[in-house]
Amino acid sequence: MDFLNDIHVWQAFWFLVIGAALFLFLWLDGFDLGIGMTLPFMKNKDQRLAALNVIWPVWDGNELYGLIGGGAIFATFPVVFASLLSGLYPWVVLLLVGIMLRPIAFEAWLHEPKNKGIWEVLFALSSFLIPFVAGVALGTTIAGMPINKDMVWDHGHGFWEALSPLSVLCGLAVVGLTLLQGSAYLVKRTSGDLQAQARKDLTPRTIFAGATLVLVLVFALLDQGIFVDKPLAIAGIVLGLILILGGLVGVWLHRDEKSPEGAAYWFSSAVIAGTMVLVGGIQFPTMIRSTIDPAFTLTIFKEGVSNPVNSLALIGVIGAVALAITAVYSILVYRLFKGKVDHKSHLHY
Amino acid sequence: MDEMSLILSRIQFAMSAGYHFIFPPTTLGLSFFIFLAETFHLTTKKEVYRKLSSFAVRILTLVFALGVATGLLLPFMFGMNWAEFAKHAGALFGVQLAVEATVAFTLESVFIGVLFFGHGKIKPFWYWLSAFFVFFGSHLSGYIIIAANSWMQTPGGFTIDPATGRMLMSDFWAFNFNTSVGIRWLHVMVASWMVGSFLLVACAAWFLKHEKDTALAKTLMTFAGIIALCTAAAQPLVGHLSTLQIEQTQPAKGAAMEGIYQTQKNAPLYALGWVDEQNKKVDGLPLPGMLSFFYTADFNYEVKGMDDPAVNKFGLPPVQPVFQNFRLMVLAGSVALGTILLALIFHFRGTLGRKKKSLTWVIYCAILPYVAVVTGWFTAEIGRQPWLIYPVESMNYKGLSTADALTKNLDQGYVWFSLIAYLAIYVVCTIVFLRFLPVIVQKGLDPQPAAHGAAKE
Repeated sequence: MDFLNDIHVWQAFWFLVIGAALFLFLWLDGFDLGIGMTLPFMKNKDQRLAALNVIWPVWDGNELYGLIGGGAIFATFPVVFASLLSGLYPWVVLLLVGIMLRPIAFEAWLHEPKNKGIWEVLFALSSFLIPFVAGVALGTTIAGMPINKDMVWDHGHGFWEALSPLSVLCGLAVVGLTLLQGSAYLVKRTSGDLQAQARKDLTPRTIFAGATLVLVLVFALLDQGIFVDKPLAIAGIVLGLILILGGLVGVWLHRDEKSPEGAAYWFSSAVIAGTMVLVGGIQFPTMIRSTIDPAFTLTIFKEGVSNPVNSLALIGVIGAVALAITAVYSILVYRLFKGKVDHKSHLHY
Repeated sequence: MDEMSLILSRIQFAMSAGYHFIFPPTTLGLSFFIFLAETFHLTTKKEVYRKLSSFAVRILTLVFALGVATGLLLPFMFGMNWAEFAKHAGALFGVQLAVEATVAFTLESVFIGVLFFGHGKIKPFWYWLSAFFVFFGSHLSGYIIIAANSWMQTPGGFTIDPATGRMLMSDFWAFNFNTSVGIRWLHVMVASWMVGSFLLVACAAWFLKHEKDTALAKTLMTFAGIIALCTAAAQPLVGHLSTLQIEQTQPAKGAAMEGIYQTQKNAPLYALGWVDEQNKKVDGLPLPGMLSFFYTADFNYEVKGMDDPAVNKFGLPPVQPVFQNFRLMVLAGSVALGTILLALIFHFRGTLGRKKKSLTWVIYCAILPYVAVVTGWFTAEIGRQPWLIYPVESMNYKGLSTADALTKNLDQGYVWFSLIAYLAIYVVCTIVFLRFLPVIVQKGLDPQPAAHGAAKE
């Protein structure tokens, strides 16, 4: 078991785990966020109640995967955690505003007797801020940040430098993915006019998600042509594109009433999986690209970026056991709440 | 270094952690109550315990959501405002937070969903087990967080990387069973049970005052009141053990809490006082010899003051806030104990509520345990200053000062922005909590099925 003492193995393992956590977050919390953004546009209170019944039992558990991803960066690559959050400080504040506002608005909506409108807007706003800023942050790590030789955001560079075309497009693409996921999940879990509306929404949302993803790829290749030199990047792009295009076409073909109700959701999930494969292939082993000097780029293998091997291994073992147990009871809970949902299920406020 | 960024970041962290610290103790206290009530329900099959447990679950969902909302930003702050701390201690502290999220918090949050929706969907035993998981998960979560905080007070289980000066983990268990964690965890858990039970006692008093569901309210008063009395009575003892611990491991904090500037035998305990930091003395009401007696049961015990090099070798915290917060905590806890004692005496004699004013007082007393947990937390953390991670002489560890932990070149404007943004969120959160907690309570202890959350199938 010599390879378990090899720090590179653990560093690569953690890169994968962080990617997997972000995938689980986008996949599962994706539909919560997409439904959240749609909430103010629904026709009546019954539709909103039905939509909230879909997400309530699971949404905070789903959000947790994003936090596990962030927490894993702290636990394994603290330098990346510190540089990313202190460098993107104002953007992270917006992300945190979204993260804090969402449960507050949710609870308030449930208990507010009459004028629920304000909470719907705040819930939608926070459901937009979370994927948008998360996408901008992800895009910034690809497009690059002014990281200096001390491995932090260089002092002379302003915060707007985080807003390259690529990072804004990444933000929009992640919003597009969650919107699509939200509609697809509503088709799977609801019925009646809410389901019909969600079906109609699939078409524009497929186009939006597809268009932003294509633009992200174009800009990434124009911006950082070097990717294509790496075999792993090519593999990631090819496999990712197969999943993305297959998924988008699949959603498109299954948008009518004759198709199985869960089909669009699974194809939409494939689009998210493809996106993460593509990003992972392009990025590996980079965590944050430096725009000042490629030598300052933070990669997982760079000296001093990751924790030592014993920390990585310890949290690896604890994390693996804990996640296996979590997976079992999460699946059990999902089964408990499976099936069609309407405004009469669960909540009666 | 930008002095203003440091001050603003400290205000921001104290505000955020202090505000967050309203909710988790409530969650812990309610989950403890729910677990007990469900256990009684399972063993006695009496419907009344299920009704009380369901009532607590309805409050729990609101409190838990707000606790999650306000707690999530804390780990982010380590990267944003305290980046040097994140890098210095990430190999231990970051690991600890990840363990908390994966092992404890997931358990708690998934099964709270089951508690709320699971009525009639799962068998009684599985429902009881879910209540146990929420209880266990939240208390484990509390342990892991208190262990991390205690580790900052009394570090252990680490070595220093000679190349970078950063901390490396050498022993996970020595980290988690550091010197001060046991008593501090117990102190916080008992405080949390106090918070939860006093809140439920206040609800019972509200129902009695408004003559709604009186029979159930009386049961709730007995049940929650006994927990409140036991915890409020036990807490002074637990707190006392904690001060003994502090006197040994952080003598500077201990001396500041008691306002002892000069080393002396027959040291006084100040019931009340005002610290004169300039002239190094305390004006107030001293109880002669009581501090010496409290520490060792011996009036002649020599208490080391802040003039002793063994006490001040790592510097001193600001004395006034530590001294006053400590007294506020004790005062709040004592008034709470007195109130619940009287309330229960009248309750068991059947005369509680003859005067509505006494019930109003019992309702407002739910605030006291909150005052105690927040002031107690301020005592512990201001008393840790000027260190973020306390130095350890025996391990030749120089500590990490709060000033050195700040993000390098942190823009003052950024911190103003985040401070104002968080403050705005806390205002919204407070409005939601204060508006909707009464709404949930006023639905009653036994609401009609159509009006409460559980789906009956």
